[in-house]
Amino acid sequence: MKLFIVTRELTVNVDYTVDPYIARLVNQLDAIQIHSPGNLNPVIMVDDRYSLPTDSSQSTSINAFKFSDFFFQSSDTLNSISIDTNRIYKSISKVDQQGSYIVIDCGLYHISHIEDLVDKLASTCFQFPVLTSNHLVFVVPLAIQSQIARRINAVFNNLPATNYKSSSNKVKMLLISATLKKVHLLLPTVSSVIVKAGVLFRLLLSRLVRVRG
Amino acid sequence: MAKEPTTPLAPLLLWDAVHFLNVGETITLEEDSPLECYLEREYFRDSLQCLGKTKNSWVFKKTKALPAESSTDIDSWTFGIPVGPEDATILNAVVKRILELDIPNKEILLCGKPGSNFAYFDKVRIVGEDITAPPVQICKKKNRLAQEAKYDNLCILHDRVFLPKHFGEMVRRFGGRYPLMTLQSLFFDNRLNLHPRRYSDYAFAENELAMGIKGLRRDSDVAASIAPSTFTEVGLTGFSFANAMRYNKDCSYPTGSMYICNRSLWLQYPLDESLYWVEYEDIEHGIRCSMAGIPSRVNPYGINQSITSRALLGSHSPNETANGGNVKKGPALFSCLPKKPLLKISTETAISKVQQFAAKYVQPDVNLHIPTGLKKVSPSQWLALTDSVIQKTSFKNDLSSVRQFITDFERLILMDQLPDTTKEWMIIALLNDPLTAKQNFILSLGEILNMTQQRPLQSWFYTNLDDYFHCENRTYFGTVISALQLYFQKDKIFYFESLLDAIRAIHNSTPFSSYIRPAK
Repeated sequence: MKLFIVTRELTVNVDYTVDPYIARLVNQLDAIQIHSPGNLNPVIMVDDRYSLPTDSSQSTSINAFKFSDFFFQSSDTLNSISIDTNRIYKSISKVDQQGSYIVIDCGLYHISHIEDLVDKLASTCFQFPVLTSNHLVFVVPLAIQSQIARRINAVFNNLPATNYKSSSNKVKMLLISATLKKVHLLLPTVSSVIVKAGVLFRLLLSRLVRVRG
Repeated sequence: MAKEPTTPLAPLLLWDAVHFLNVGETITLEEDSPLECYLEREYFRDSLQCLGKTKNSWVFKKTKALPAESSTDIDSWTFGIPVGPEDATILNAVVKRILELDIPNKEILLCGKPGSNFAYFDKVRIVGEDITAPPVQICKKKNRLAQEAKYDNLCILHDRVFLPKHFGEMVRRFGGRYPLMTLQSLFFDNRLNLHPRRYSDYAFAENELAMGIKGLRRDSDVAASIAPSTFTEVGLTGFSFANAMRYNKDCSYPTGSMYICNRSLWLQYPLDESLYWVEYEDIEHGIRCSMAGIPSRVNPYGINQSITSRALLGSHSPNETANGGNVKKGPALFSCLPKKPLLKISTETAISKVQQFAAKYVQPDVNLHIPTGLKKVSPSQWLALTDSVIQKTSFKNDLSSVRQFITDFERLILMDQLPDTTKEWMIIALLNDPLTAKQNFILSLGEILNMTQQRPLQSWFYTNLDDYFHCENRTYFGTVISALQLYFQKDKIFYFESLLDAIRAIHNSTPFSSYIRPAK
């Protein structure tokens, strides 16, 4: 599964759900050579495409969606947009040809909404690995391209921990918790000994009092 | 004449009664209340004819011998061991013990090819080399052993089960008409025979299997309690060690470690071959047999010992007491004695497995150093190393990749199999928050905590497989102490006839280091 984050061209108003712009875009993306290790979904940021060939003779299966295809806007809260995972699944599960390009034009929606879509799309692909045989293309504004790419990489892949520090403290904590758990297991035995000692002590005390009395 | 509901042991008594009944004789049963009659179950159907039946009484006539009566010679036994290609040091000890048992006619069958250092190729017959792995088709292997067995008396055991020296005497004393039988099993975590611990022998399901949820079997259209989709639910059922002095009708089962069973009975009720290793196949078999009329029970005249143990079974688990109560028992966590290795793997192999894991999941441009040539690794070093490897891994975040990652983690880092419930929890955690889930992968795992509790300081790996064997002279004191402890303990987790029998049972089943050297 290849994941492309393509910038929306600022000078030209192009609708990425309409041919032939989209066919040209996908053909260009398909031509990109990717040398990536097999255990990650490659995430590719595409800003300008001047270096890419524009041969549109090659046929590639394309499925285009608008951002609005995936959300519902409830009548009582006009400003709130909610991404519907079922709508995502319903739309992209119709793509039955393997190796298809699913192009999603994210428009100029707020970044939090786009991130929400990315998360829910990743969750859908997690649960239906068959969907990962397709490629995803996100068309986003240039300003947020990096942020969206970072998010896509973090949810579609399980990445090495970047802020990872030495685990010696964590190991110490584990050893301490193992000891505490052992102490917890020992508590009934200790308490029974204390209770028995208490009973014995009271018995001796009462004897002593009786003898003195 | 027998009154069935007066005792929970009724199935065992009825089994004995009808097996010692001569053909042509009748047995009359009376119940206090109208219940299902045990002798109407499938196993007895062809041999017992119901002559008369009222609301709560039955008369049966034995028309022909029952399958478990096919064996007339208690002195002829087939011992079957499913084996793998790993180091055969422990298998050598198990086979050496079988060879010296007090049984006149015996045959040893191995299902699968043992490791190259196996010393008794001339004394055993190897079958089932065509059975492929993985997955480990343990049921197919055990069934093949039964099919190939020469004698009717069959003992199927794992290659870590060390039989008692007086096994022959025990089975002769019990007699030949036994149902599905096993022995009580003991494991010593140290080599001095101190701190005895019960280990995988005879158990029962505390609740309805999978809480009544059914799943589709692999090989048919039947919905069953134990099926691939219900493994997590079966894991939540709750299982307890059963007491040898009690019988829990239709709940008890001998664990797969050891079966003593009549061959024709086994062939009539074999293990379900659609299930693989650690897929609750022993529970399915034991309960299916019980439902059909074959109870499971313990031969109380001796015990066996497990030479090795699975690290994940070293937690505190419920044990049924002789009076039907329940008590939790586990390893001696406060023992200061040097212990046996926690994992049956050497330090070098463990490190090379971590390297194998890193080669698959850590990108070449990630800075990670895995030491080589280490002679010993302390638990804290091991945990720090494996945690750093896990944190530096990368993989696709989808269900199939995550499942593969967990499988590789079990195989190459944990060196054991995780419970299905833990695996389910891991998958959901990785779906919801991949990075946090990975940060907690090793150091928040209950199974790792449990292993750390068992060996906080001592290395988890062996330097030599001899580490599992006991020096005879050093065990006498421990044997007596352990026998005193087990015989006089309030809960009676183990059954022994007398203190002397307890001492004898423990001594006779201890794997002494002399068994490492092959017999001449």
